[in-house]
Amino acid sequence: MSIKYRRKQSQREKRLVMTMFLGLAIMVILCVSLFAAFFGTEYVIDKSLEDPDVLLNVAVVGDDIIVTIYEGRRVDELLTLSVEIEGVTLPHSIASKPAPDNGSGEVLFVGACAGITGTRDVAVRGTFSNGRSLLLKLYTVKFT
Amino acid sequence: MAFIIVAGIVTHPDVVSVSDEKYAGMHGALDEFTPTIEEDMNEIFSLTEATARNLSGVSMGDSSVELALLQLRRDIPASYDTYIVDTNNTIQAITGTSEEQKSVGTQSCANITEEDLKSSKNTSIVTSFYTCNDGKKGIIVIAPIYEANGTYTGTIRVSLDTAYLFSGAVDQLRSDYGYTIWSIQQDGCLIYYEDTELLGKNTLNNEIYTEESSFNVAQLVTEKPEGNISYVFYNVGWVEKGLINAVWDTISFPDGTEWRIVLTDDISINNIDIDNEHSSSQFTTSELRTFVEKAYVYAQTHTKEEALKAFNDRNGEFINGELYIFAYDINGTTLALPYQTQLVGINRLQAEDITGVKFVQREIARTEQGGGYVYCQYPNPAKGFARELKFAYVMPINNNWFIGAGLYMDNTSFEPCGDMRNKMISQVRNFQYLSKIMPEDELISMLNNPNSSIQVDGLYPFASTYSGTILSYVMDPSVIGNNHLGYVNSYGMSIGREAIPLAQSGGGLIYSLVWDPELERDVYVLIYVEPVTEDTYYGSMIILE
Repeated sequence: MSIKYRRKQSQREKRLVMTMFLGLAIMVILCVSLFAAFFGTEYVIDKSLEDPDVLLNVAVVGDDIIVTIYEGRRVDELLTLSVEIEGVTLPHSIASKPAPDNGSGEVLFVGACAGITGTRDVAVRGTFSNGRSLLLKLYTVKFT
Repeated sequence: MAFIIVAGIVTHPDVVSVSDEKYAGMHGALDEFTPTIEEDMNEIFSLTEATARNLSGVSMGDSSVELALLQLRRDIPASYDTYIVDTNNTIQAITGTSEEQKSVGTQSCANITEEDLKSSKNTSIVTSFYTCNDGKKGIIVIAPIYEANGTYTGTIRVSLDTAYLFSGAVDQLRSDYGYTIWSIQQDGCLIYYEDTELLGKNTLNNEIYTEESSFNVAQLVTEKPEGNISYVFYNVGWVEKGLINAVWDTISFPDGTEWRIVLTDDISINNIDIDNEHSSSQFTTSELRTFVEKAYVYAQTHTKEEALKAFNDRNGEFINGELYIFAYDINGTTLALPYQTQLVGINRLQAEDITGVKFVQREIARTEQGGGYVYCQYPNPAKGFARELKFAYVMPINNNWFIGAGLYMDNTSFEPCGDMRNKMISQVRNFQYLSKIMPEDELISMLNNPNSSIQVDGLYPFASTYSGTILSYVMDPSVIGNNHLGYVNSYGMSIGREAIPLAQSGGGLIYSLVWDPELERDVYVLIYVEPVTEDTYYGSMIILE
């Protein structure tokens, strides 16, 4: 009886331990996720505030998009820039341009927004000398 | 400004009347000015009452209601909207965009009953100054509508922008005599001053008047229908205190409403010790841009709080001579304005320059396209507060706030254009009206015909689709059929990209530079646009030079 009882207890304990372990694991995962979501993002933002990879602005001028690069710790490593406009497929020849020789300066995407109206997200990506591509800017533009 | 004016009054135990010599000139100018406002208002009363009579017995579903409202709005350029309200104060019909049409079935912001109208000395009445939920500020002229059998069915209403009502005449007064105007209701509420952001403030309710030593000019003006006084307060540019001479008179309307019209000489104060930061422009537009870009980098590499603290610091690195950084959030609330820190936290979305251009809205529109140059006219302290073209460069920090700086373009000032502006507004609203009674292609061909009856001397009308295709452009017919989204002036400004969202939001005024094919150069213009159909907007422009 006692053995049976012990066995019964042991199974319950096992289930209890398993449940507690799983609950704890879920809690830990949730906490880590939340921490990453809040503090991690903030950290990234703060980091970019302190020393951005590439600090730039994107502006619409008629049918063209002008990306102006100001500074950043990786401007010297930047090889190409490309623009993406929400809902629009741009030919590579229009959407991708070499980065300025000196790192900072203006890059003109001629005809990139010809005929484009409404409000759309515009993304600017940079390809660096190590082959990696990074999103450098995302801005919602009111084209008209 | 009256608020600031009065708020700026300092203890001046020896308040005196205006000297005889000055009084004669100022009173003469006031005598010339007041009839212009009186006549304009009487015409508005008359037009509103005539429309009310024409709508007697007409069902709200009848197409003639929309036409009558459009005609009335066309004939009153200072109007925001014309609309009909039933006996339950519910809006039954209104002019304007599909957004404004949503107000049909809702309560009007002014609850005027048949009894209110009957107790008036006149058929129609003018309300006190009001601010609606959409931020529009002004007055409403209201006329009753009766059935043929005398049954009261509601009212027709014209909401009026008092800044538009006064500004043309004030601009002329300023140009002819060097005086300006502020105007208050009998209760002290400011209905006009050049600084339109202060309209609606009550000049009698400020705590500063509780100081025994303060002399309340506003109180004196509200108490006496006419008079004159000299006192000390801040000038128009809010830069320096000086002795101000004021002469006032009263306009009375048929319904018994009275407005005090106060003429002052505070735009021509002498002895202002203008410091270097307000001296004439020493920068180029390229330097202006570089200055703003430096602030942009700062804002992107610091927290928002750090950046705004730096921009608001009058002794900081973001003040350089006449250049300083301003900042607003995307809704028009001031975040940084180092020389007018009292405006920080204040929403300036509806702020207008002397012509009616909502300059903060123009700056927001420019930043929503990534930034660039914007124009407005602003009093230049270095030129005795003469209005000059101010050129601003703005940049978005992100989608929530932006920064900018401005400089006066030396020797670029324009003649008063209030009358032409009103003609331009009426012309565009006439297109709106005509689009309801004739096929659009017929209207377009009339627009394209320089000899047609809808042309007005000195105005250059145009029409375009919302996708940018030019349907009509009298100044340069060779571009008809082209898409103008890509057309930019020498400062990278695209009229199409600026005008389309303005028209879609209900319309308004903008300055720009456009290519004049006859002069073969860019010329400064004032443009007015309004939506006309679901797919098109119409506009007109005047050359300012």
